[in-house]
Amino acid sequence: LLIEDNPDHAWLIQSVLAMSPCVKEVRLIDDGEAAQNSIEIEPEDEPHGVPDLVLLDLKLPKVDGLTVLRSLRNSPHWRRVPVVVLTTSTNPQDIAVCYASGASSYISKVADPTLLAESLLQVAEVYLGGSQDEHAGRREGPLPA
Amino acid sequence: VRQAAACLRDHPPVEYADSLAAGLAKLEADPEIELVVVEDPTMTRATPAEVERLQARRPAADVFLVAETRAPSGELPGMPKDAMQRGRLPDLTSWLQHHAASPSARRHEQHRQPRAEQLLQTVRLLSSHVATTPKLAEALSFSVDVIQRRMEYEWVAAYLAESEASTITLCAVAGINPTEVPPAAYHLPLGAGTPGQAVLWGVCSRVTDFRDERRVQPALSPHERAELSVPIRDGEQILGALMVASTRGPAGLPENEELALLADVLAAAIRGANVVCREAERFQREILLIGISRALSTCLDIDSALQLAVNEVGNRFKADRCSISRIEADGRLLTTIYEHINPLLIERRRLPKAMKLADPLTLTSVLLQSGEVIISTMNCVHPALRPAWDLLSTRYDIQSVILVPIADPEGRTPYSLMLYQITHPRRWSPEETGLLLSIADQLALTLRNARLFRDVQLAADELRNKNAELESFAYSVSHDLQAPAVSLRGFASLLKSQYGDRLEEQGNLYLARIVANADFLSQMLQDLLELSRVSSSYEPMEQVAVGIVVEKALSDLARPIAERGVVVQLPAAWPVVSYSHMQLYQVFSNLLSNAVKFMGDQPEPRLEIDWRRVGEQIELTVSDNGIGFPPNYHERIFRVFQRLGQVDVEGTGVGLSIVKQVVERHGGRIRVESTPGAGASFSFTVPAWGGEAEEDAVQEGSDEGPEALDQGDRLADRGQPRSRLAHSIRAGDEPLREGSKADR
Repeated sequence: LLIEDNPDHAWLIQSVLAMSPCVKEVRLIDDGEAAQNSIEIEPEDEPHGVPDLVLLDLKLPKVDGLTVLRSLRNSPHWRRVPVVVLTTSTNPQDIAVCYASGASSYISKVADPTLLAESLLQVAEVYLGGSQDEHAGRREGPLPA
Repeated sequence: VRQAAACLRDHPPVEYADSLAAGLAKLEADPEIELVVVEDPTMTRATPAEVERLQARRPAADVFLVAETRAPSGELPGMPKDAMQRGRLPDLTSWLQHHAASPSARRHEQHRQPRAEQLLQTVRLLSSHVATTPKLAEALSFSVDVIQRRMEYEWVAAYLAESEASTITLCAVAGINPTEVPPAAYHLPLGAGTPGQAVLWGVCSRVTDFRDERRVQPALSPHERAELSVPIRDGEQILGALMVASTRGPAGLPENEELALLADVLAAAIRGANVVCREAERFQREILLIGISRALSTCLDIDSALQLAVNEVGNRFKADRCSISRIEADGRLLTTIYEHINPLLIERRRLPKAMKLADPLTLTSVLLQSGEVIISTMNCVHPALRPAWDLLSTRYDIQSVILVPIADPEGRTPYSLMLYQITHPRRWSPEETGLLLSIADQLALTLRNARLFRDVQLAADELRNKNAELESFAYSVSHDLQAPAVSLRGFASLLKSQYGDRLEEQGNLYLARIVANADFLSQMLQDLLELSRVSSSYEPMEQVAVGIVVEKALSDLARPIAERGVVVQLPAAWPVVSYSHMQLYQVFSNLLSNAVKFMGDQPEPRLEIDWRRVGEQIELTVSDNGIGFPPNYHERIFRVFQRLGQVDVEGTGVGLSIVKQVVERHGGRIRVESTPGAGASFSFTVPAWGGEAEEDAVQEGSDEGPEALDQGDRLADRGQPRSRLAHSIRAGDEPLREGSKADR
């Protein structure tokens, strides 16, 4: 699940993820409120189910990314889903806050595009790789650092 | 003896001397003395020879000797035997009474001087005595005594008026035993009894039959017939009253002029005594003024300082109400800003905070603006206050008021210091008015300072707000601009990787420029964010070993240093400073990368880091032997986006701004020395660590112990400094190296 409001960024990220053999399908939500709604409803009512990985932008309309992250970590069904934060910020404090709020990893968008692409691919491989099977791919909680 | 003599009616003046020698001196000084009573001549003080001499000198005077000794009178030659008396007071009194009616006393009666002569001599006697008596009470009791006896008045009394009170007080009486004075006569309200009337009106007050004169209550002689009081005045000021009372009706009273003359002599006495008092009073007031000035000038809380001043003035001047008021609406509104009310009168009707005075105060405000002090009492209303006086006196019980303008240096007087009296019509002495004017000057200065202070504060607040606004603007702008930059770089990168081979050489060249400029834009935005973060965030101070920070900064630059073959020279030992790890790293990182960047074509590039202690500060220096820059750049290089090279030279021109910002935020200074072609040297100061240094705090810069590594890692964990490695994955993988391929 990619939560990203900037369509260009979403397109870029999807283009990169398309190169990964581990990524089966990318769903896009483009605002914080919609993301939160998606988290709060029961999984059986959600046609898409709980994703294997969340890529989360911090700057979102309506509800910001950190709030989404926190409610995700408080949700009984979503709290074990790995969340990789994607943001333009390089502020160490922002990064610390993200980890403190339950982020599994953090990728800065302002990195060199090739680095960024590589990071995304690596993230996909770490969290989704190993098995194409949806359920086997899910790990218990965030990976140890 | 004196008491016995005083009981005599119509006795001649009695002088007391405690030795014959003193008695002789008195006799010579005062030709009026007719009766000399010498006490105890034989014990120690007098010799018969002296008594003889005394008698020879003044044959006209009766000389009596009063002795309590066992010495027989016959031992004093030349003394009549019955002139000696020993014994107790009642005996002495009757004895004196007998002898005072002796020939010389009768002679005194016969040779009664003409009234004018008598008056003149009394005045002369009084003048010579009272002028030398510093104590007012003594001078007064002596004076009334002399006046009563010399002028042969029945009862004489002196009253004094306190300048700030509504009553007059009895100070001395003669002709009547003080215990017989009716208690009510001790303190008289102004206007009660003849003395009160004389003080109030400032003219003689004569009452000859109290049964007819209902308006004036008798003071001293409630059951008697006549009183005459004259004011004791010092110029315009009325100090008190001198009163003569008679049980014999009008016949026992002197002429007004006669008593007025004597009152003038008393005025001189009081004046003399007052000089001393006034000095003390003036001293007190100087202290008041100094106290107020100090309070006003040192207190930054203007409101409480002015309130304090008003309280102080109100208390010291015993005003019923003291206020600083502002005249508003062209003089139609009087608003009280600070006020002090006599605590004893707090229950009395209070003045409203704002008095609507319709038209009346217009004239007052005009007068105040001209700097005039306005004084009004019930009896003498200042013309400017006349239209408003009815309101003030009937509705607010005000009996006296003084308005002192508080004129600011611009000449405007929106404020005035006002003191009201409700209990009595008060007179204001020139000293008091002068003091109030000085206080008003001080208040004016304070009010002006307060205004200036407020202006400055407002300006500072505005500046602070503007600054914060600007910072948050810079932050959000660089943050928001980052998103399109990311897209730009991302798509350019995709274009290059996926379609690069389909573009011709020229097309690839264009694409390269797009990538270079987009990268540059992104870097600039990042650096700007960094800069705004440095200027808005507070990093906690910690103990920082400089060597470790330098180590880390150098290791981040290891590749360019190695590529360029730069020789790095470090000091043998490192200081420990009080700083933020992260920010000190930022400073070194920027200075060092700057130095490496501007090595030019120097064949033997060298980089040197050194430090020295300057008092409580440590001065750190980073110098190189690179291209340097001309002196006119020494200031400019610290400004944002000031760059020496073109776009393709690495760096955005924000690095040195960050360095300067960090150093100055920590209270340090940064300076640069450089000559073109001879390299540059940046020196900045940081506070030395003041607390206990840890044992390993000072260590070799090249010493790479486990401790150093450990701290280095800790530092890296604090966050990413201005580094190209802008991300990391938590999953424990190696940081990605620059130059790896996206399409791997």
